[in-house]
Amino acid sequence: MIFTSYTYLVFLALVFLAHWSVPMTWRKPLLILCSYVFYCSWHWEFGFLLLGVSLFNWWYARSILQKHPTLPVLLGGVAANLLPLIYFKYADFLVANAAAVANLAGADWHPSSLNILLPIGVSFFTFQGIAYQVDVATGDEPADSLVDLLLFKAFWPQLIAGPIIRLYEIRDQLESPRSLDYADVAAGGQRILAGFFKKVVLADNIAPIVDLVFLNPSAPNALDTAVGILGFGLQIYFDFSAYSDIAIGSARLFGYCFPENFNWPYVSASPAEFWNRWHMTLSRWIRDYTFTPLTFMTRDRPALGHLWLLLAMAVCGLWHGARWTFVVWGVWHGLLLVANRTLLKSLFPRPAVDGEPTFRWRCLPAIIATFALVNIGWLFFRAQSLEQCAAMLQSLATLRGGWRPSVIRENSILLVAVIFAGLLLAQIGRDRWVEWTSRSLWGVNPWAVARPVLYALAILAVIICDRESQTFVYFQF
Amino acid sequence: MESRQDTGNTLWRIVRDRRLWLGPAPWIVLVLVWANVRIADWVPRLAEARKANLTSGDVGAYAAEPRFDTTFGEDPLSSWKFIPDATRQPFVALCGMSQMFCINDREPGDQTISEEMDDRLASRGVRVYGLAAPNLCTEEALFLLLALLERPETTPRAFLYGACFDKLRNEDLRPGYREFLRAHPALQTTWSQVVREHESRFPLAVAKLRKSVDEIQAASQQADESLEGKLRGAIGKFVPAVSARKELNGYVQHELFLMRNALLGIKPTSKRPIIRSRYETNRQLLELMMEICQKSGVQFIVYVIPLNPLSENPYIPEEYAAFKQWLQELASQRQIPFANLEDVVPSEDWGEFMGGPDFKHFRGAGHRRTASRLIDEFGPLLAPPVVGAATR
Repeated sequence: MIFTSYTYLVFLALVFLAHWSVPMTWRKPLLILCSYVFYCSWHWEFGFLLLGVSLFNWWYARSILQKHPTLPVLLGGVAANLLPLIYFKYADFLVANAAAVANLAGADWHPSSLNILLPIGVSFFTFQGIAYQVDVATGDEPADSLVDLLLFKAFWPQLIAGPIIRLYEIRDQLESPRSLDYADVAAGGQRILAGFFKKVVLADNIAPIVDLVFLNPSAPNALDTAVGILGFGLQIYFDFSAYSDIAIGSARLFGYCFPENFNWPYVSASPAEFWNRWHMTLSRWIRDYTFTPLTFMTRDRPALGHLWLLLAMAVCGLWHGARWTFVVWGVWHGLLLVANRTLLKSLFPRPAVDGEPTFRWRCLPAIIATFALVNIGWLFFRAQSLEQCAAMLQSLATLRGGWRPSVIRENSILLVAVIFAGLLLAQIGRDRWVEWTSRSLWGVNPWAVARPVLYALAILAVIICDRESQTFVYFQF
Repeated sequence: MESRQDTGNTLWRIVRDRRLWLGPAPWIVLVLVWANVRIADWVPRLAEARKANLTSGDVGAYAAEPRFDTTFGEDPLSSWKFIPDATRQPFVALCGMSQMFCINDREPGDQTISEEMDDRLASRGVRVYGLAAPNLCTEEALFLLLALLERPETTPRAFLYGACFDKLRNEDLRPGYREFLRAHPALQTTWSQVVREHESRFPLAVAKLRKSVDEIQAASQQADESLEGKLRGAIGKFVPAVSARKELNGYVQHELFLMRNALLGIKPTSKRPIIRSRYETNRQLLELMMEICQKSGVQFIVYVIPLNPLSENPYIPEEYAAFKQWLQELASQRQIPFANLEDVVPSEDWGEFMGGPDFKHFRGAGHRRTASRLIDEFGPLLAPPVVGAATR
């Protein structure tokens, strides 16, 4: 059940009506049941995996970890959470790389693919489980009620592709009765509509252009490569932030407030700021459960901090997929973050503080530099192989073909350029938006008049651009 | 202790909230209802306009038993039955782009190239059937060839292909052909077999063919029988925007296309370089068609389509010259009959398009001249020299 499908909208509406109609004590069990229906709509067998992981975390945290909060016990819990992820996601990768190493050493081992079906969302609920174990080991109270924990693990808006929520972020909401008013419905509806628009109208229209560049057997020219990379940067942003919008909006309809996952990442003035704005719940997870513990353990040797940063980002890359291109992407960002702290410290300004405008003209060179570096990273992320990365980088470096594309049409270039310009304007104008929308013209607030029309147009645009519910990019992770 | 008194109150409270009724929600619904009423009114008119556009007018002029695909690739499933039965009488398939069926300034008695040829070859015991569609690309021509070869009844004696240079920048199957392929699993098997057999020799063509069949097979799995498909169908019955979403999408894309042309000053005759990767893929697809015909014992014939000698065209001269030379050399290498009909139709036989001379579509006289020339060039290959009775 894809978020942008009609099936999901009907499912959401039915669960919404049922949830707010049944007695309060039934609401959480109802949400758990519906979450499992949602999850099992892909492969029902994996519902048992999710249930097993949830029950294990419940039992282990309460019965073992809380009583013996030692490192070995914690590592046992973490390893148990990692097992399904390693089996389902990395077994093929590990075997293939082991075979490559063995063959280098003279062996003749050519294992065939294990063809293991990846349970959807496994990376997300694994990280959530690890965070829960670590939090309990470091002093947090485990969940009081099994129902709360089952809902925390399975609640469908965040189950498949995040935001990666930690128990302490949502504990109060799970433990207290939820309420709903018109503002919640309006805010939730707006977020869902924004998500549909970003995904169906923007991301899905850019996707074929990006595929054309990255999946074409012909070597692309420099212009194709540049447009393909820029296009993918836009596609993944709209795609993933759309998912987060629909997740946050859907949860809001049931009275739950999820943490934000994106905050205009492409106006970041430094790589460090980028990671404070991009997939924020994952970056916080990587910081809190990989980088910080490693740095803390070697606090007497601060020089190792840079190494841990690289390692943490490599883990972040590997989390996205069992392919070396993802590891290179992670290492690339690790290098950028290290450079941000050392060599390029003077180029990148300090991160924006709360209340400061999102877009700052004086930071324009740093914003452009960060945007370019992040986009180079997208090449590693999207490429099918390291060889393709090298070929495309060479194409860019040698300006192959000059201004002539060899793969894409001028229409594609125009579309990517228009969407990019639109995002740019939105980013620049965002901080003045509230001011503009509250102004009145001849006693009438133009925004109040335009808003229904814009929303209706957005709904029509979603219907017209709909291509039978394309899956989200982050589902593969 | 959680209260049970809240049961049902939440929804009722929201429904009674003044902000719901005085806010944007009713206006959004109103705008959507208005838009859907307009769309419901517009869809039938659009269908008429599209058909008129495809044929340059005269929508209802087709015979009960048409001699070419009068759905222009939109619904080959319905037009396929009109293909002459090859087990009873040999036929020639004439395949190409809109030049084959579009008649500018149509006058009574004007016929398309395939109809003209059918009339003239009928006396020699051979039928001609036109399989053309707007902007038909090489992959689509290959699709038509494979679809014809599926059954002895539709296997032609000769496959006559009008090569148009700018169609070598296009790829992909149109929805009508995709639907046909989806509905014919045996054709999918043949398609996959072609992919397997020619992978090493035509890698670009095969990569494209594989992509198409994979997409079609994936789409089949989530087809109309799925819950999502049924839901869309059901909602489409009440919401015209949903049922007409593909037409609306096409309309919006066309408007964007016109806007782009206006903004960038692009005209039908603006010189635009060919897209290299697509060109290479299409060249391989064309050669693959020749090979498949040769293996199947079907005579493949290729010709360069006529162009208006007085009109500008969007081709870069060197690229176009290289294309013609390549095609001629390839035909010669493979011993495929070839003709360059570029100058066959004089300037007075062409019409107008977007305020200037049409460089690719002609009047009825142009169709007659092209048909005559094709019969002159390839007559013995199309129909045996022995005169047979007209049996049409």
